[in-house]
Amino acid sequence: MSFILAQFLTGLASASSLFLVASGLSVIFGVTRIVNFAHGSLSMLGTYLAVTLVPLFGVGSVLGFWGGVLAAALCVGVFGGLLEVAILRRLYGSFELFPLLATFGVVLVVQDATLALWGPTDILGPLAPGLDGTSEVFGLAIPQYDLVLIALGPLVLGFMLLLLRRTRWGVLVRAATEDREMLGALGVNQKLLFTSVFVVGAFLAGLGGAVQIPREPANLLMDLNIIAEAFVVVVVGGLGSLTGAYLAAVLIGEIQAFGIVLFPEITLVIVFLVMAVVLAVRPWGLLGRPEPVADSTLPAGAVVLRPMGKVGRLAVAAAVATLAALAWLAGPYYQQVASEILVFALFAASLQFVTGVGGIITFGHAAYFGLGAYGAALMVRHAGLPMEFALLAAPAAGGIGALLFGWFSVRLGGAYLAMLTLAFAQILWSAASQWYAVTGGDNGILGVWPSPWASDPATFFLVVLVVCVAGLAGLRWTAHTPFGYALRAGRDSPRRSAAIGIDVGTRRWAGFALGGVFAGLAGGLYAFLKGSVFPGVLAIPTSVDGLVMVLLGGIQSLTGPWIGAAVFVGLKTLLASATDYWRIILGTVIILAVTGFPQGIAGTLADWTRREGR
Amino acid sequence: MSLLEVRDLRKSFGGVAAVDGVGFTVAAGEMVAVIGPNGAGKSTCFNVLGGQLRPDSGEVVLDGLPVTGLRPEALWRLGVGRTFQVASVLGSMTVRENVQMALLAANRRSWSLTRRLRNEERRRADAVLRRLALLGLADSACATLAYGDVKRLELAIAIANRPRLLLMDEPTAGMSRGDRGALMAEVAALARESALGVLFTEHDMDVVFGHADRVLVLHQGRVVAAGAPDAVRNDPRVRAIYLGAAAEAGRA
Amino acid sequence: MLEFENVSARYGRAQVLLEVSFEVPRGRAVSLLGRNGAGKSTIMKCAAGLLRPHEGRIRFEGREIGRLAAYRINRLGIGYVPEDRRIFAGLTVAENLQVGRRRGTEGPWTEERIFALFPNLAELRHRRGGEISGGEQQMLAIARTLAGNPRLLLLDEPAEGLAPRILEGLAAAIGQLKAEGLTILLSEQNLGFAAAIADQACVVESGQVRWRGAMAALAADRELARAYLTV
Repeated sequence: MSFILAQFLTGLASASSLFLVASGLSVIFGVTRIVNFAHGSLSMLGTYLAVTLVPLFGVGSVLGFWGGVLAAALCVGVFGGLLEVAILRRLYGSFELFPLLATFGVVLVVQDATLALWGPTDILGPLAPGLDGTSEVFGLAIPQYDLVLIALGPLVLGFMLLLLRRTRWGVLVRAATEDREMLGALGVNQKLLFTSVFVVGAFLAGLGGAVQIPREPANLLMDLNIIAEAFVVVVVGGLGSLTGAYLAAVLIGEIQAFGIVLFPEITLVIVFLVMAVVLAVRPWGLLGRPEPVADSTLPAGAVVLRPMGKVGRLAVAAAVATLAALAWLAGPYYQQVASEILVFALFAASLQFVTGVGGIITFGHAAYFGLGAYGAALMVRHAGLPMEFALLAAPAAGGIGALLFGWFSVRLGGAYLAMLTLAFAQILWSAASQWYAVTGGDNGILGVWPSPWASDPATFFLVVLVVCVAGLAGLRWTAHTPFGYALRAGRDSPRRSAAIGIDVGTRRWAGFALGGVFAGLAGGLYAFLKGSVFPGVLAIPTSVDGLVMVLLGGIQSLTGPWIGAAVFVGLKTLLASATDYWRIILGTVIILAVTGFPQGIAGTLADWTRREGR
Repeated sequence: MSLLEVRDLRKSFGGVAAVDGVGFTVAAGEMVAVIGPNGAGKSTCFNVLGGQLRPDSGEVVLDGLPVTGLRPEALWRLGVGRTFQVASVLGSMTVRENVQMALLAANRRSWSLTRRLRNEERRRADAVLRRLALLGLADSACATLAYGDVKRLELAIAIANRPRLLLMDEPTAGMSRGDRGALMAEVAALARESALGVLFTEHDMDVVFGHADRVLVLHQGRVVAAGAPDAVRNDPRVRAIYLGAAAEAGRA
Repeated sequence: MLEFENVSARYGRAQVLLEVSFEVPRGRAVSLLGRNGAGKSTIMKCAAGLLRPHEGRIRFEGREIGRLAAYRINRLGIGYVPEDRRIFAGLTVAENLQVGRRRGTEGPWTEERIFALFPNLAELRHRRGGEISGGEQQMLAIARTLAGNPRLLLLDEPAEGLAPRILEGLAAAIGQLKAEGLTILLSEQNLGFAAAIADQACVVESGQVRWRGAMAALAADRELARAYLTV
């Protein structure tokens, strides 16, 4: 009994911090319709600023601690406002992928900036003066700070609800979630309102991060961990509902508190199952209202698909022949780089099929790449099967995963889809890093070698070449079949598609699953290419790398992903060997590209591909 | 027997009845226009018939078959074609591909992974395009078409699979005056040739009175008048709706 | 006070307004008349700043407003009551009014005076906008705009979908606004309702102004009214 109560209280304490972060995310989304990917980074900044500011304000004093925490949150709030003015303001109403990518660019920049300013080691924060002991609750010794946190969640919830109900600002915010245009017609300066909403949302994220300092050391993994959890909370609670977010935060907090003790290795699987049950029963979350599924904004240059011309076919033949020649002419290093480009080209092409052809904006495509990689590795290492079987298991694993996760996410649109796909991928990532018995956790799975006949680097390179070119050709073929056209029809106009007998929902699900199959195949090859698999293959950056490759190549172009992968992998290889801070460069490039040419990346390249006849 | 029979259709939104007991019929080969002021319930009525909305109560019978509440996909296979107020075509495809898709999906062949779309149903698609004088544009991308041609293409998609009933929501909205007459003449010819029943809403009264065999007037969710165009035109209730009771009374 | 000069506008590729010119003199009520889809609402949206005209000029008290953001146009003194009312359904009646009111602008339309004009709303002030009837929502939409103390009121199809009994009350309220010196641009399909309010008429069809003149002249000319308004 006492154990249950103790764990319950611990769960409530973690729920509060989670709620603070998620509530900010929810308020920002409600008004601006932007899913702020950088919200976890804002929270991480709050933690780092607090561990720095609290000592400056005076470690021993109560005022110093809470003053420091509050100052950290305020700094983050101001930073959030600057982000809105400098970057996000340009992206309202643009193609939904752009704000997500821009905020991910911010994630990368903040990550490296934090690394540069605070260094790579975890930083332990000071304890809260006067709250560093325990108090007796029903005969149990409970950390006093936990009790404060437990109270903080409902307090902030109450405060936010009051703010939204009782102040003019709150009335305007609620009005903005319903009809922004009308608000302008009534004389409200939306720009100012949006900036203020970002400040408040960022402040909440910062506060959520800052209050964690006595419980958790500041570390560089916080941003993506927190954002994934916040997405889960917002989706389970229902977008736009603060009370829902609190309930969901408590639910998730409690599952983690009990899970970590009872089933430490599958806690995340339980989180996933609970989320799945909630969404199966209530697709829009506990207290969420159905979002109308709007016709998604087509990116510029939604162009007609044409068969490859003579020039194109010759170019492809020449490229494949050149690559094949590498097997004899180049050394293992270049074969390795070329293989990597090919594998990522296949991965990017499978993502292009889903997002470009199908119009399904997924942020967790790495999940299926990773499932393929782990599927193949487990076949070889645990089942003792040869590479040939493993390379069949990989696409199957990717496809089954996409079929399962797709059922929950693809029928929803827009923000729910983006957040859910990302959360699924992150849950898989966590499972892979924790489930030591099966996946080896952070140590990964080593010794994933090709069959003896293919173990020579040159031969293996040829295997990669053949499989990838076949995969790319298969995807291209699919886009030209009635199946691919019907998928594209659903993207162009759901209404017209339904009126000519195409069941858009099922079609999107099938397209998503097929994308998963090819991503899984790429993942399987990747496992053999590296000889090992680590949780990183499933992580958010892998998904975003894919999206960047697709955008580089032009989201509408079937050939684009090949080019995008070559440019991206090439640049990243160069950058990573030249500097430790490649993230800040990549992040800046993404932000500049997206804000500089909101229509441009896809549009420019579409123009180019149109002229080239693809 | 009528091709389409609608009985006592009702649909409310948040307690407000948008369609409040509407009933009417459409015969094969007949062109029926639905008119009425804004908010009369025309769009709701259309969206219920097209499967975009489910009615609260009432019945829709197509050729003796109850089709109430069926989804748009199912209605298309049963022979109901649809055009929208803002023309809805597949923007990233060519004119011909749009019609090919419509034909393939109707025959449940849109799942095929073994053939290219290019050569599927090409002959039938071209026949439809020729009928609507779009064959010259067959290989053009939709994005490059003039709006009048987009409207025409939408009609081609809607009639591609030889439907029995065609639902047209404001078929000439946004078109130039000359294009309007030509498009409706085309529709009227199709209706007569293939016994196609056409139900359309329209606010251009020249179009309504130039092409409809019968006119239904909707007001506040109910049918207030129905009949031959001239009878409806001279119906005092209809005039009162448009001109206002006060204006009529003042002159009487 | 408000002047349209050769204004053309498009939605995507569809041309909706073609060289529209007319003016609304200070203190008068002008009604745009025409059937559904004639372009009346588009004219209103252009005047309110919700749609940028493609070509031409819109002037308010001599100042060009065609390119200004909607909130700036509102602050110049143009109040817009949209078609379909666009009430904030989740906000109470009082909160809807609060959105329309701006700090630092004093004017004749205090809460008491608004509630005196629309007594129903005073009783409903704590009900949500989505829970009140269509007629009450229309009153609220007008009241919400009045709270910002505009000098020119744009009323886009206020009579749409309302029962005749409610229309009388609405016409009376709008008549009172006009009597107090508010300039009004009304869009209407119903000649009777428009004739009760407006002095001048402007008949719109297919995105073009077909006829301009005194309301009385239009109401008296049966053929003209028939040609553009009835079936």
